[in-house]
Amino acid sequence: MAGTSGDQLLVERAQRGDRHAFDLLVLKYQQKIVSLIMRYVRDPAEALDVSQEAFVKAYRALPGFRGESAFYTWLYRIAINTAKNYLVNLQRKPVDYTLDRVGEDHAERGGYLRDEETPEGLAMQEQLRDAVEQAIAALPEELRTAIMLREIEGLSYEDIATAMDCPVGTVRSRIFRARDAIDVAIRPLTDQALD
Amino acid sequence: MMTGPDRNPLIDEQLSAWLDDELPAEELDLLSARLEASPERRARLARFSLIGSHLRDRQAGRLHSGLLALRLSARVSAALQASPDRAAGAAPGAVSAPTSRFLPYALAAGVAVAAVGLAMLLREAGVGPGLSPDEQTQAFVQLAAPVDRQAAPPETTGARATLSPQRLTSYLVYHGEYSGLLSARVTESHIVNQPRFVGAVQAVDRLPSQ
Repeated sequence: MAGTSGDQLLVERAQRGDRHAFDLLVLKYQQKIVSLIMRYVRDPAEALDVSQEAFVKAYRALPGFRGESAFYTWLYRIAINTAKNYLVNLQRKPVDYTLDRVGEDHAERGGYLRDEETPEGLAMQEQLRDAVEQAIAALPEELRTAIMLREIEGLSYEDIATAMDCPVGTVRSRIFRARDAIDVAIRPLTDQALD
Repeated sequence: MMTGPDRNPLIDEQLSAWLDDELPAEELDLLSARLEASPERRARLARFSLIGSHLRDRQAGRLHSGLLALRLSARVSAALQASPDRAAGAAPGAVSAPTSRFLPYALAAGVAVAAVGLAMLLREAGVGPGLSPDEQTQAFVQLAAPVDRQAAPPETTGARATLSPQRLTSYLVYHGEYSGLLSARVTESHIVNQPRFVGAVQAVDRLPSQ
């Protein structure tokens, strides 16, 4: 698979001390890792701290990574263990929102959102959600279908090409154009958040 | 579609494909160099990632980290910059264990056991008020000698300050915290090559096992 070997190339460069290569891996997986850790650590600021610790541990453990599993699988394990250890150190019971428990406990999660996120953060979250929704709604049908099949269904480009009856190169282009359109919509929000 | 010095649809399409694990490996080096040279392009990569994460979490009804993670790569980079470059390879998934609250007590108990053991050894070696300071020093040096030196044949100095290696080993094993039959047999094996003990050891080996 192109991506796995691509990750492996970056891993090998990082193992030789190339920080930039590791930085790219962080950029690629930071959203997934923070999202994963937030299933264990409720407070967003704490989740960010734990995510940072997980990546630092991963970097330090890189010399021992032999590529027997995909990099993300390995990173996933480090992130989960870091989150659990963090909660144990705090003597808290892990929340353990597993991947399978989709759609449960909306009320509870809404509760901790109200308690632990700032009003500014919540407002920004709302704006981000609205911007993404509106941008997706405004996409041409073929772009919307392509990005949803990729992001929601997790299909490969080849499978999407089969489903949409078009070349793989067209799928790649459509997904990029969809992302680019949404990016234009959310960029003011992200710039504002990072200021 | 916006255009600008750092906006190149072909390169950005590569970014998008790499995020999906669909970029051919041969294109990665060039993309990596371009990312290194362009903070704007790196920020775009982070936003592309955010979009996917947002869509997946929304679909799954999960809480989304939102804009939070956008700061992460800079923080990780700073943390790595501030810390030593590389640590000895920890096993994958092996993260630091929480510090036990009993650790200080365990250390204190260990020190106490060691002190008692040392005192008994010194007494066994004859170090005590009955000896001159020089004799006490000599006895202590004998006890503190490295294992390989202790294994050498003892010099016959004639003073009671010397302690035979077998006797010292036996003492340590039989009085150690984890003494047991197995360790005793191991100790006995140390003397198996000494002619005066061969017969005794063979006799023990001929005994029916219990």
